[in-house]
Amino acid sequence: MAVIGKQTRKVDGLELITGQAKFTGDYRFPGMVYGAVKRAGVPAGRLTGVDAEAARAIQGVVDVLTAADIPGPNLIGVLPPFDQPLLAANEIRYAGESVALVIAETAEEARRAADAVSVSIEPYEPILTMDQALAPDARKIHETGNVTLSKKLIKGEIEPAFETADVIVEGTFETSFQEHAYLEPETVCAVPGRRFTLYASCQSPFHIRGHVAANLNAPASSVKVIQASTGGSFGGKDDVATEIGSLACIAAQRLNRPVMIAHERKESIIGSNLRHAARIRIKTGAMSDGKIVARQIHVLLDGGAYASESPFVTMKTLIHAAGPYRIENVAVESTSVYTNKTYCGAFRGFGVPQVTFASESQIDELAEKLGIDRLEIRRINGLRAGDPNATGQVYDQSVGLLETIEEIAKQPAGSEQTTDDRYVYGTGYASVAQGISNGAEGVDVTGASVQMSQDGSVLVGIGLTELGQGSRTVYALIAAEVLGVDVDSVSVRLVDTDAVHDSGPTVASRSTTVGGMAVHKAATEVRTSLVSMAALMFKTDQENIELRDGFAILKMDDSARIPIREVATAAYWTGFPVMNLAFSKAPDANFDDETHQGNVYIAYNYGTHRMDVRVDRRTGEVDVLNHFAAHDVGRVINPLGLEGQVEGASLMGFGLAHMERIRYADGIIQNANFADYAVPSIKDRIPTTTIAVEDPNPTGPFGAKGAGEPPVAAAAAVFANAIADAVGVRFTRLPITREDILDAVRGRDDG
Amino acid sequence: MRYLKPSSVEEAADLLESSQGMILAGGTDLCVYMAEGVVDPEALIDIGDLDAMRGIQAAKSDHGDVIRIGACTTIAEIATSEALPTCLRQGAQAVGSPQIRNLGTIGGNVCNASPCGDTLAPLLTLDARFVLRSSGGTRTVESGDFFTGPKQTVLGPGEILEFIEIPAASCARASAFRMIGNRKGQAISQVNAAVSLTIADGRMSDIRVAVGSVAPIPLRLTKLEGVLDGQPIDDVSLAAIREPVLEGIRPIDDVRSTATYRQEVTVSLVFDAWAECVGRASGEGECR
Repeated sequence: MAVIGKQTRKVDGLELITGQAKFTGDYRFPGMVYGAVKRAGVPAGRLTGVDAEAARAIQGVVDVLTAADIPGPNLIGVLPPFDQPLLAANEIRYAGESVALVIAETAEEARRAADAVSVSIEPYEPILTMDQALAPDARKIHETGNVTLSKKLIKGEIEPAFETADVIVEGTFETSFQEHAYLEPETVCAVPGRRFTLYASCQSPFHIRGHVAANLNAPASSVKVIQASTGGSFGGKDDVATEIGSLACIAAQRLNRPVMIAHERKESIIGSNLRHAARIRIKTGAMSDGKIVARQIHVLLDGGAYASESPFVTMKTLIHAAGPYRIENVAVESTSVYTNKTYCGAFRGFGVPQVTFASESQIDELAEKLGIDRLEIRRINGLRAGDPNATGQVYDQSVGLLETIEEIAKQPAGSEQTTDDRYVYGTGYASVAQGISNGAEGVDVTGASVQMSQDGSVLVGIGLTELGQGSRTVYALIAAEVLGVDVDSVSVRLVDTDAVHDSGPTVASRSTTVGGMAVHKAATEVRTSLVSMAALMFKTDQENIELRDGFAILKMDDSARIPIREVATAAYWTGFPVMNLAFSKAPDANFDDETHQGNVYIAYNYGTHRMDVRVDRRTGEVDVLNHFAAHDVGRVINPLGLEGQVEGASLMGFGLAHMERIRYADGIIQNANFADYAVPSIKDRIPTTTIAVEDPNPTGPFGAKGAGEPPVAAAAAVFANAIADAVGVRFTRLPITREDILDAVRGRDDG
Repeated sequence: MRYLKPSSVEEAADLLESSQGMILAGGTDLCVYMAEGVVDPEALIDIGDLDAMRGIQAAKSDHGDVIRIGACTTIAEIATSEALPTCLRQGAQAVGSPQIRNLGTIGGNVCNASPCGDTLAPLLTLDARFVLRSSGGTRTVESGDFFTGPKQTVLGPGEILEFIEIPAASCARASAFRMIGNRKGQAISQVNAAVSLTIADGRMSDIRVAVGSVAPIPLRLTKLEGVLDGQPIDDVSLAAIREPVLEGIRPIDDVRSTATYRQEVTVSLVFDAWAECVGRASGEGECR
């Protein structure tokens, strides 16, 4: 390999760190006005009136829109039937609900005027817990009831297996809502014209285009969405970008002026989706030799006011709850419910962190009960190639879980420990599997174009978005490898829905795997033209030609070489296509809808982590001394990019496990700012060491598998297990805060 | 809203007297309150770059030799000034982020009077005095008398904090500061603590202990000071200070922490700050 697997800096890194990259908020257009929304402020009720008179009187205000002003259906969502209005018409389902949109000459005027809009709401008793939502006589938040989706996975027969088990462990685990906390809050800018142009900080531009067009009551082809440089997304800039993107376009159409809507941090927290809070009841039966014979799991997900991605997260938890283990008898029931809180949806990991925390905590409890080493019990039960997983799917290769366990087992022991009784030390382990590609969540198609100019430079276009995760660099490396040029001669364009093909959403760790395959395919077609041309130029057969180091080279005589730019020029004038648009379609998922047995994902990323912690018995403060994260990624495309993904995802998992908790009081978020909501700071980063296991995946480019999500789940679970080991108390709720740890230390000392 | 930019502290005091305005220095607290709608001042009187109100220097006051700190001296300057006692520098280092420290001022931290302000407990342990300016002249208030409640002080209408004075005698004592927040960087104190003391012949004297975020105002722990005064350092232990610390504080549950956690942690922070003081007092020729 010439470039694949080599340390490569992000192709867009320089423009980002030098401030050259243009974010949506950087755009300015003549006559541009600004939008701000009035939010309900109460979690549940009937909207009886909106009085905008005072707002209209404020200097600079040019327009106020309510639900009646939406030309289209006034609905957005991820799955039909869409259930979320752009502006509430009748029902108020959460406190952050948008009720009116104010447009003014400046952002400050728009904000002030939005505050001046007066809304009349007849409040309902809000439904704030999953138990309240599921009570038989509960008020229905939506006409369909309070269950968003409930599904079952059934493999084998658990009851007889539990009867034969030598030991059974049971427990209930809970996790909290988590905020994405990207650097750049959601921002859109709509420019009207014969067609609409929407610049957006977003994750899935084609999804936005569809909703904008529908709510404008206009054809999709009349809308062009350009993804500006995007300061993070992590799953969070999908629904909300369709919401404010549609609103901005509708206002731009009414006023015939460009409209920018930029969320403030507080809005970004209360008015866009969070990670689902979860309650997971889990029971595991095993034989005395450590072999797990049955698992039964009930997952409840608090999805908040709207469906968003809840159905897909429900499916994901269903499929992943039993963990990366060979268990013959599994029963899972996963249910997402509506409550009168901020809606929940996609967030890096997509339900897997919640169930992995429960599952891996219980694996440790089982190991303790059986007196088996914690890595050994994972070894005994871990999936191998050829084993059916929880859905009965069998992979005959690229199941590298055991290798990740062995990599972890051979890491050096932790650093020296002080004998001071102030500190206690612990080590945790956790394993994870996370499905790659849309899988159970739908068809998975990506379109990518590769074109070579006559100077030998390459332009790649793809409908998947760069969000900071490094996907442009991955695509550049794949194209460069196939075409025999260096990475610097490859450009990957920003996503413009006019110029690239709909590639579905940028989710599910699918960019490298599914997107990379499309780029590989398109680049290979261009390569065929170049090789054909070079063969003509060398007057030889195609199999004697290789493309390398920017040259077409005669294999038998390394000194016989023609620069690729000359080959490209000749190919162009000869009429050989030097551009190709290719589609990559992942094999369809194929499973039974009642039992969820079947083939779901094109591959899984497997991982095992170890974390060493030191706990201050006086304050509950935790220092993470070591963190080893081994993942089977099939093939490493860019080691630097992989490290970035593993370190970043691990820190997010650490935040979920230790620091981050959205606090509600009466349905209102109390800590919608970064002073009171503790996202990890740079000083809280953990010393993650990334270890790559490469068990090639036949469905990915060069054998690669996605890696952006899986470490979140493993890092959260490994933290919980390390703390339990240090303190001697099993925690059943995330986050495990300093307060929780101190309480446990004191409780144990007193006991 | 009017934006006013006086060219002297006297003019600032006059503007404050004649308007319904508020003083703006670094703006790191005030702008947050304005954004949240907590305050909506008729005018902002920006004193942030009045040179006469900035800087750290030795001076003589009515009370003798002092270090005089202009109220508009930035937290970043406080955090790095070798002329200042350790606990005050450490407290300033604990404030917010580099950006906040570059903008925020010590006068702002004091006048905002949040019980969790990280320079407040240090100033209490250093017997700092605050020089307040109004159009009628100046008056001096002891730091221990300045704070009257959460975000409340003895500052009258039309009064501006002009200088903070730290007696030279306080600067001669060893001191240290400790805090804990909800994360390691850019955190607001759940509890903070400062200690200053003198050690001679293995015994402690001139002890000051102050804590923040465990009562409506930053507090001196006079009971603990009394217990420690004159004692040999070897007699001090975590267990020995526990009761006197807990007697002095009145923590509450809020969005940042719980009363129980604050109690436990206060004892630990006070002990750690004390231990650092002792270590420094025993070292030779080191900055105190």
